[in-house]
Amino acid sequence: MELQKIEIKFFAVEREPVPLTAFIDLFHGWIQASDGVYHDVADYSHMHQGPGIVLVAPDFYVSIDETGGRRGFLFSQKARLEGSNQERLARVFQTALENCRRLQAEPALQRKIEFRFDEFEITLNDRLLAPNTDESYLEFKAEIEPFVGRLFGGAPISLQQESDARRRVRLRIQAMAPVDLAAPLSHVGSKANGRGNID
Amino acid sequence: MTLPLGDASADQLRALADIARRFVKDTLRTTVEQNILFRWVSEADLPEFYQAIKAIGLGAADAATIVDVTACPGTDTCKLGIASSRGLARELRYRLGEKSLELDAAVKNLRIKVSGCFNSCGQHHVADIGFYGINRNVKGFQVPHFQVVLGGKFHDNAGEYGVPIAAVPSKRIPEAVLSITEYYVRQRVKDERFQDFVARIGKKAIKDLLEDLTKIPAPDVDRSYYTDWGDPREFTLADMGVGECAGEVVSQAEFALAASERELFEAQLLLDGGRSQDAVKAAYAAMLHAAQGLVKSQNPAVSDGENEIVAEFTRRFYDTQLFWDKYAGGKFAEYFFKAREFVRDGKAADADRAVQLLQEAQLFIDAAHGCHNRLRATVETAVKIENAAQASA
Repeated sequence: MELQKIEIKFFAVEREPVPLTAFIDLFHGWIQASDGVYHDVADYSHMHQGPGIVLVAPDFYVSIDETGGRRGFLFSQKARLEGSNQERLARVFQTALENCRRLQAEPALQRKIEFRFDEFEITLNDRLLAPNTDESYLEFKAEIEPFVGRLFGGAPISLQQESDARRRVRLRIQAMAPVDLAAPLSHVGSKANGRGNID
Repeated sequence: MTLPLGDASADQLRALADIARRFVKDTLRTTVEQNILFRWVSEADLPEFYQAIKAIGLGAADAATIVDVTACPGTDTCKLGIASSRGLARELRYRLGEKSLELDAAVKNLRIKVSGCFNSCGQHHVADIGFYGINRNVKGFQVPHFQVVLGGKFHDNAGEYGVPIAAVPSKRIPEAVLSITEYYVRQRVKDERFQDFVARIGKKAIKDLLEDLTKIPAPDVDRSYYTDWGDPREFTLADMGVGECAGEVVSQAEFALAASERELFEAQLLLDGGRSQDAVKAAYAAMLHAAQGLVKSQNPAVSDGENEIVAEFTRRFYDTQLFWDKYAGGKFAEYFFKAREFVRDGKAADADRAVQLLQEAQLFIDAAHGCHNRLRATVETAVKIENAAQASA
């Protein structure tokens, strides 16, 4: 199976409530500071457990996502990636982590919100390449397990498969031991260009 | 069943499919008001049905009311969008939703529809209270506005179109809605419908009601009026800046464009009075005045003669495609030419033709504003570049 259009969601831990609309101005600031990397912000805060606030770039988008009733930072790769599945996973994860870290450090948020890296969801947003079948899940897990094993330094993990057959292929991955941000980054080993993009 | 701004997530849609299978034999419909319709839900099932849609966040009680604002995508995603129709709709939904329990029943049954531009994808023209996005130049800045269109008839298969009343800055539209609806409640006679109320009261009275709302503070006092809903970026074609002197210079073109709007409004009053022929002539005169204003930006010496104005406009703006819409092409200029032909030929104008011509005149004048603003932005940007080059030399 070719892994493309990979999405990664890191779940939020809020010390204090942060309204979704607070991210609109914040993401607009990213646009103005990015010299063309990001293009626009879409506001779906009026929706129940919806896409939240979306920051759109040509090759990907990031969002404060509330689907499934859990707020989180969602990174969604749109552009096609070259290389092996493991390389693609590494590159998407690296970029997602960097964008998420940048958001977490935003002064405007005053550290009211942080994101967990010991538990995340990974979704394949392409039903043609990755139809929701048992075969797809077998192949997907065969790629994910070694990747996550390196990511968490060999710590035991649990893999939970999406139960609704109508949804896209999705795995929820949880480390069974605490993991900090530095550990995943050092183990992933892919290069990102520091602007939130993938080289 | 209301969908907020017509949006639903994939999970909500799957849940709605389950609900449809459970209650109405797999059948549901989308509506022209961006909602979902379930037909043949039995009365006995209503409580469970309500709990089911409430569980997925779609149990709001304001479908087909004034809170249920319809909007086209506008500047969110549409290249034709001029102002943020969804941003305005979101704000109106929020404010009206907060007050929905207090609203008079007559107000609650009104329809608000918002389009991001004149193309009316939001169907503003058949709303009781409709808006379409335009831009105006205020104190040298581009400011998002909406044209207020009142008295459209959603029922009877969209039996009547609303008429444009005034251009109001985008950030003042919620106040405009409040003013209009409170005025309606105060002044209506018995069970008078909103369309009949607008026709009876007359456009001038409503325009006077909104007059104060057409003004906004200077940008150094409150810049929020110079941005659109949900977007903190300055609403502008270019970095307009402010003048070097303390005063405000109003160009001849701006005077003429402002005058043309007043003249068009007079035309609408004539039409209200049943004087269709006079209304058509007055509307054409308004268009001629707007065209003269544009010509004066390049040829200040142009006379008041109709032939010279038309010839200069054609040569300087139509033939050069300066007065050109990226998607509509020369359509708006052609409204001007056709109106001239109609008046010159002395054709009789019935009420329908007069309404059409007045609406085309409004679009021409809006396009004249847009053209003027674009040209002004181009000139001021060139001046800034020149100044910067000289400073660094």
